[in-house]
Amino acid sequence: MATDYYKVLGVARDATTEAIKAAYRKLARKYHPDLNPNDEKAKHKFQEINEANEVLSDPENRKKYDKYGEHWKHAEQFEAAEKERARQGAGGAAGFGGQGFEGFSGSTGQMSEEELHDLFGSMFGGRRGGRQVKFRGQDYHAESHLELVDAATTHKQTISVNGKQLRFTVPAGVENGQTIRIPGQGGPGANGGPNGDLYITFVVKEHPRFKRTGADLHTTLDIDLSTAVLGGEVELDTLDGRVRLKVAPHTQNGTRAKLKGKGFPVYKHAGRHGDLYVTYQVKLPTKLTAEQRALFEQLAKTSPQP
Amino acid sequence: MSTEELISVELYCRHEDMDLTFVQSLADRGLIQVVVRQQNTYIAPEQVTQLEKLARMHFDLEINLEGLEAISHLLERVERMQQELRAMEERLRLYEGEG
Repeated sequence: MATDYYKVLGVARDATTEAIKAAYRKLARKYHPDLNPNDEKAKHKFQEINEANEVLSDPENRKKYDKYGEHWKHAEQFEAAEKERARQGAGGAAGFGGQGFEGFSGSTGQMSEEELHDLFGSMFGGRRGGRQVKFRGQDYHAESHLELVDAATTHKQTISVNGKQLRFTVPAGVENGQTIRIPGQGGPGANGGPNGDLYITFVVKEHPRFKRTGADLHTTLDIDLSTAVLGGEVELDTLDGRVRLKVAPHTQNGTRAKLKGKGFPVYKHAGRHGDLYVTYQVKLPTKLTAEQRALFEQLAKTSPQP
Repeated sequence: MSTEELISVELYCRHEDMDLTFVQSLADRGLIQVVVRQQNTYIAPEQVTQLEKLARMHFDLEINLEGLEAISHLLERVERMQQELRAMEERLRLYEGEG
């Protein structure tokens, strides 16, 4: 269904130019992308408002829009075609005055809306009526999906934008949902306007072993009962290789240890890393030999009752 | 940052057909950072996006300098809150994983 520009701006069909300007400014202040970062709905709404304003704020364009609705851009060609048809005696008696474009749909002996669409679309597609206005090109949005380990190192990636290969740097430490802007790599501007920008949002996949909060990493490590009670050494995988870790005697289930600087790189702070937090999960034996059972029974007798 | 890496505000304004005093007013209010060297004012390339954004709000939306100050402050808060929200979502995932 065609958009009603008056409804978009929330003004009456007989609104003055000043009222249209005021309505546009009010809505633009509400929905402008600069004031609504990362809000796709606001951006779409702003595009709609802009389009409505471009038409209704120009008296010539507005007149055409009032008469021909969504086909206002082709008003001149439409009128010329109709004159020609009238001259040839095939046009019928119905006039254009005040009927709006929809008035023609289905009228016997005249072109349907669809036919006109095809005709003007192929003949005059893209031609703007009225004054030449510079338009900034459309901003493009893309997603880059990264594994957690990839997000930990600065590296290059290539993406395809409108058939063009674009190489960009992914800085170490990018966060899930973070967006970077590459100026001038969006859609081309119109009438000498500047190109839009390209926004790339990173989607960092979850890692089976590490969870990330900012620059810190969290993981769990299973330790056996004897290591938990008596203490010992265990090995642990980190992002940059295996490390040996001392487990203190009497380590309780759920105890957390911090490995300083073994977390994720801090975004745009080369050499700085967050910490790695390890939560110990004490695994109790599920099968005991007769000897082990006897030892536990002996232990139970010596242990104070809770 | 060396002067070669900076953009002359005077040249920028001439190119963008922008009033120099507008840039100076933004700098005075701390909305953008400029560098003054040997009586010439420069702007770092990474500040241009912010300048463009403020110029759009001022000239296209007719928001005055006081409005720009208030909006910049609120936008910073929005951005911080969005970052916090992302961080909280990450933390929530951490606890959900434990369940």
